[in-house]
Amino acid sequence: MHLFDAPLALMGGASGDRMKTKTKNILTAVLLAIVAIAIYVFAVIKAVSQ
Amino acid sequence: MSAVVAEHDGHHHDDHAHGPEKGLLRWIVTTNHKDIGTLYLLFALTMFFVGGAMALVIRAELFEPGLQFVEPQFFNSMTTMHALVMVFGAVMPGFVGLANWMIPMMIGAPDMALPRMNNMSFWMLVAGVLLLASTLFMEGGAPAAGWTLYPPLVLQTGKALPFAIFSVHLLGVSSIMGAINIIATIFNMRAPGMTLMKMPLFVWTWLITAFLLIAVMPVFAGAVTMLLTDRFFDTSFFDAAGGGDPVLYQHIFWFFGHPEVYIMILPTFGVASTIIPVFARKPLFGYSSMVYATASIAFLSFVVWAHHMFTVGMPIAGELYFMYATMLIAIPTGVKVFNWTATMWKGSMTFETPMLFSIAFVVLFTLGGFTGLMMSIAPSDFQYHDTYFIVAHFHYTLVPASVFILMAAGYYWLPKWTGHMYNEKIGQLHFWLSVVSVNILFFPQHFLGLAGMPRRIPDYAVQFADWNMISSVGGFIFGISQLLFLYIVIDTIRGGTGEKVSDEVWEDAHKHGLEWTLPSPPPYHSFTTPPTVIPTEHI
Repeated sequence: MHLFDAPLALMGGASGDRMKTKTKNILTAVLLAIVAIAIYVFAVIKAVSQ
Repeated sequence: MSAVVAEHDGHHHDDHAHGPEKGLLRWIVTTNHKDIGTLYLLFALTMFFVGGAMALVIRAELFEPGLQFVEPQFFNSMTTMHALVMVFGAVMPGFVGLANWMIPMMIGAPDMALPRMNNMSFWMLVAGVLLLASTLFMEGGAPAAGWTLYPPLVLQTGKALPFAIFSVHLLGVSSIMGAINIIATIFNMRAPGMTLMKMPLFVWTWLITAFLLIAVMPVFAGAVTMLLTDRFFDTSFFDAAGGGDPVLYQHIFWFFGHPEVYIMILPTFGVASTIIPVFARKPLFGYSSMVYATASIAFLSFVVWAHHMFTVGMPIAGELYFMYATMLIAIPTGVKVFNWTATMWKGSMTFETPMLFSIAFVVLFTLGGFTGLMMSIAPSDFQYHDTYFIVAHFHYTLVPASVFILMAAGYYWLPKWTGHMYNEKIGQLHFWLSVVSVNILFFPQHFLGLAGMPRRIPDYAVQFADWNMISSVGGFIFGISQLLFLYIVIDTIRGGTGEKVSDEVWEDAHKHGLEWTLPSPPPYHSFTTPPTVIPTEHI
């Protein structure tokens, strides 16, 4: 079971293994990018609220 | 259990639909993990010499008391730029280069998960470092407040400040994209049978490092953005006169800065854990404890940042907490040193150049770790703070550790990458010159620091003259001996000893990782059909 198997299954899955891996890769990247941006925003907000 | 062999159908040769572009364009537009890995490694090597040249300016100026060669302002720019170039231009890209080359080959993947982003990460790095280097030629000179860029001092930088800050942003985005790529590759692209706990330690350490990068790079970006607005948009985040707090910057910086240290050292641990078992001809001792120790070190790196600021005036409870939390790091680090030693214990060891550098790493990194433990004791740190003792400590953990292991990795994998054997005699000469001179260079700095010599000064009291002279002599021998490594890299790429290496290069290396099942040099696309991984104890 890979990290994004469950969300992909909920989305109806993707056709073919290659496509599935590609979708998983993009999903992973988007999720991690959101995490990075959230940390940036959080750090600045914490500093502003000191 | 990390030792694996592969069963695959051998269709990994360069018969894929597309090969490399021809000429210069290949290197600019490439999305191939090996090409990008090579670009990263060559860039890191170049920056190693650029940063090294800056270090030699520092050591030349400190050869004797008084001002000899450079103005104090330029001297401070050199200490700042040397650090930034070495951290962001040499060590980090060096390990990203190794990750690009080796992670897909180690986990049985054809390439990195996001190849176009991989290309973009590299070229953003180049842009960031060039932008940083360009500040040397700007009015007011390059940043000179130290790599920590502490306000209010850094806000006195001339025209270079916004360029340096934008450079940090570019380097941060590049690192985050690289980290995302590594995580996506490891999570989604492993060959059948390559479970997490079968991955080579190098892959594990990079996975954890990638999470560290994503967690702390945005924090650093936030801190320097606030510096930018303080300077140009009349904010007062770090300006006491406007209600701000300069110490706040130190907290934010070191929340990034301490994990950053581990970003440079965890992949070092991974490479050492890869090389030592091969030359000890034994499996790595305590594989799972190595994984957990790496994760523990990464976790602890987030909760110890203020040990860099003991002298800033913290409440006693804060000093005690950060002191004890820092001491805790010695436990997982001790596990690692114990495991490397136990791996070598009663092994059929041979001492080729990669192993020599790895053993030197274990010994000298431990020495650097012990001085770290000394500094974690808050009352003692009041004596050590901002002295050459600190300089000696972190150079022991970065030069004979990260830099030596980058060299070890070069010697270890260069035959696999090129298909040619390097010249072992010159390799050993390089090792012995490096290991002797690095100690001549950095060991006396402990004495200087304990005697009270401050860091980041171009001139000093006469009482510090002798050890500084010895340190500078060591610095020049170390710097010049690195040219041997440059020679070996060029020579090996051009054919080396003329000896064609086998697929596994080192005796029984195939028991230690998938990469050794590929031809030397490996095909442009590593595993076009995924291998099946079988634990070696089942053979």
